[in-house]
Amino acid sequence: MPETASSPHAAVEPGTWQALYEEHSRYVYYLALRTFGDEALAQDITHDVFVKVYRNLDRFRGQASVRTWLYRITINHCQNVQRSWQRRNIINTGDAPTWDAVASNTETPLRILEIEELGQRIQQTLDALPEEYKLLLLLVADEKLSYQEIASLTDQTADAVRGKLHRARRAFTLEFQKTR
Amino acid sequence: MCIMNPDPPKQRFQHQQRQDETFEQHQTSERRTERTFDSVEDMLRHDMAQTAPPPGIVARLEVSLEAEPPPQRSWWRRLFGG
Repeated sequence: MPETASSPHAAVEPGTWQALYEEHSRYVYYLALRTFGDEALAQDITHDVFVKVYRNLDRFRGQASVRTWLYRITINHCQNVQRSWQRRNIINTGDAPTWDAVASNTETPLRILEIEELGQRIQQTLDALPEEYKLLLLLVADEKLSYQEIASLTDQTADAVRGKLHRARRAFTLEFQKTR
Repeated sequence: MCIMNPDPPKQRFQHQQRQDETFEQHQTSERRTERTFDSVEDMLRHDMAQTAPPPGIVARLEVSLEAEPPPQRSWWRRLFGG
């Protein structure tokens, strides 16, 4: 996995929210979109995150990369949205599937025929996974984040992230195969 | 009385040929869109690359940020100048 983004200080200057938006909005939007599977909500979250970024530019201390800082704001915002959504909706979590117990060859490369359906199938798959697996997979998909940064963003050790990602990949592959 | 065969032999042949061509095009099209991902991350990265934030967000942000006070200078800028 590559190292973190270049100098975090470079992009964070007053009035440069456009530059930040240009460079990072895709990642913020994608995380929100695949977390909730709702385009309108993902747009709202992306908007709100960048308003927060604008308000807090002076608080960014450069101890983390800009990308990590943005992810932290996005994850917090998504969690707030989720909590408020859960308060309004009764969620039947049911019994969580036990992917670990399922014997399957998950090393097989994931093949798809219709690329147009990919987004829909990915969303369906992610929606079937526990929130933690979903978040870890979405974060590790960003090549600029190291395991250490993912660990910091999700409040756990890098070793725990590695272990959970292994199970998350396995769960994703099994669930993806069900989407046709 | 003249009875027109709706599907004379030559036309039948051409019709069959067209069907075959259509089938082949469909197959070729499927082959063209077939894709293999080596890992879950590869698949998600591809999906991410295809998913751009809608341009309307920038316009909304511009309106929202107009109402905001200008951001303060960073602490290191205040401390070290620049």
